[in-house]
Amino acid sequence: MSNEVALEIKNLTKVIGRKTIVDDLSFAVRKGEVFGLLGPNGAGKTTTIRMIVGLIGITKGSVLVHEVDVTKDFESAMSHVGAIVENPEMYKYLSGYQNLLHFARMTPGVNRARIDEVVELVGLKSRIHDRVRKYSLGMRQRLGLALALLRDPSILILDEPTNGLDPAGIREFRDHLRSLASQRGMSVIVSSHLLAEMELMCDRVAIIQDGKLVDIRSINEMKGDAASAAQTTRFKVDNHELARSIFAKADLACQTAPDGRELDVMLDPLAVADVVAALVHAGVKVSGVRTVTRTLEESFLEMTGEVRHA
Amino acid sequence: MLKLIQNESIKIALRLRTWIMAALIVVIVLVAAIVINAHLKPNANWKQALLSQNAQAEATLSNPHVYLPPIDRSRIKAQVTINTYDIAHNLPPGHQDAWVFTIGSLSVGQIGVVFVTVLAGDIVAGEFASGTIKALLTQPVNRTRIILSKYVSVLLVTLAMFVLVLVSSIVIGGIFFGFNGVGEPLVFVNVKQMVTQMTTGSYILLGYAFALISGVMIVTIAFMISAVFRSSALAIALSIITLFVGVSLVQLLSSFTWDKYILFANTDLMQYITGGPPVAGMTMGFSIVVLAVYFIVLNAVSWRVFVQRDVSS
Repeated sequence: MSNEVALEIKNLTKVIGRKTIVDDLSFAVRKGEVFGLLGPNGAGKTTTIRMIVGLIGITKGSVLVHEVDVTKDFESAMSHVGAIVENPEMYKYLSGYQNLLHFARMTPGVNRARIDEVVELVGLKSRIHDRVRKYSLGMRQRLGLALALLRDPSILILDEPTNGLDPAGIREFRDHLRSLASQRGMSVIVSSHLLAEMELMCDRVAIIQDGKLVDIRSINEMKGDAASAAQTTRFKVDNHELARSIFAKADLACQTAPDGRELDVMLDPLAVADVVAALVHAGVKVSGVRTVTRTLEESFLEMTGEVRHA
Repeated sequence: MLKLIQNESIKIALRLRTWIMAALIVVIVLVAAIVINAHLKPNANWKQALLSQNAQAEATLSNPHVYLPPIDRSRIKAQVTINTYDIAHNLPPGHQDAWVFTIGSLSVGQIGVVFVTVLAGDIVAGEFASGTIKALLTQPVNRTRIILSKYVSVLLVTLAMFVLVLVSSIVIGGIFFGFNGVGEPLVFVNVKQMVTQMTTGSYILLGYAFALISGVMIVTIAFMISAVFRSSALAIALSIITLFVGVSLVQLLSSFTWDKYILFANTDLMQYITGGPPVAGMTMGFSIVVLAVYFIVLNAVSWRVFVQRDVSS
């Protein structure tokens, strides 16, 4: 991953009627990076993506593809961009191949050899001459990816790409994306409301809520650095008061775990044995000790301030 | 641009409905030929009948007690002249050959225009309905070129449809009635109720050229409706309703002078060759200007709406 910027969004704003759907959004996507747009439904992810690819007008701000403004020179900007917006819809009465041929005619320099190449890449070779009408959703998704890759874009934009895919399909799709980014230096922008999915796919994530940018985080940062010394360690003990006093003596911050029955302490893994020994020595019955990695979901909920009742 | 037009044409050509429509046109021409052929009974006394019809007409014209408006007077005179011409050239009434049949087939062309209206109504709206518009508009091609390629394809289909009517009529007409007389003069009554003649070939070319202009206007309306409404069904239905209501509206409002500004009062330029315009005082030049203005406005609306539209949902 380099620091070269492939796509830059500056103060992007979309107002429809009196409603501000996207509010002053700015971020930059680097070359070879998988960048996620994460947010609940209705946060403005799809609107942002549609503005990037020119499907809807921009109220304010700009989208720069390799420093070319999309609204000023749409054709040259889009020649670097491949996109799937929501489910990839194809001409059902044409075969997969005819569909690709149709879109190949719209981009200079895409020939039949290139079509064969992308068909091979997405693994659709055996069914490419069937009509799209007969394709399963997974096959349509792959055809959509083939179409998006057809003109060998340096930026790939995918809006809710795994909607409607089965787990095997999602996994396959994810592997495709990762290898495109790492092997070909392609920048990939994906939107999703599913955290777990983004965690597996992305290098960095922009968290969007109510059309506003909440934060941009790298996935590793969000998960909590694995090498970091302190981890939340959850103790299951019989006597909370006594345990708390021992933690206090050792200068350890302690709080009640979300379920109310256990205690959470920020602790270096190497110190766990000593702390347990101290507890046992003081007569506290320790029935369980485990480290708790803060899930991405917890970080996300904390950031967006969303309260969820299980 | 040529590749975009190729794309749009392929999308029309690879759909079954296009070929069903084309086959229907040929079938209609064929059925018309069979029906006409079955009713073509040469009346042995047709010359006698025409002569007595002429005598009766002369009597009416010379009767001082009968009041006839000048237009009717000239119409009757014209009919007499045509009858005399037919007797002299041995052409029984209702006689057929490939060329006369081809002129009659112009009405099949009007059915064909309805078919093309269906395709034109679907060509933009259909992309929205199927969702393929998203893929189409995220290619490195700006929207002006996209809509232009679609419009040109619709025009090509309109042209192809008229060529199909023309060629199938000549072939089927020739098989049933023979090919005599393409260079023969065709005698008809003109706008001033005077007898005029031109060669049958020129008349056919003129008729089909004017029918094409009229077809283009109607298809342009359908195209605009298609660009404005994102539902194919609605676009197709509205286009066909406009076509039928428009034509009867002109007749209904013919007493108003502004009736002549309605598009459908001007679409049929043949009215300046034979028959006469719906509102007195209209000229071919006037109609051409009205058509040109409608043409520009309709296409400007299609273009503007298509280029500005937010593609969401």
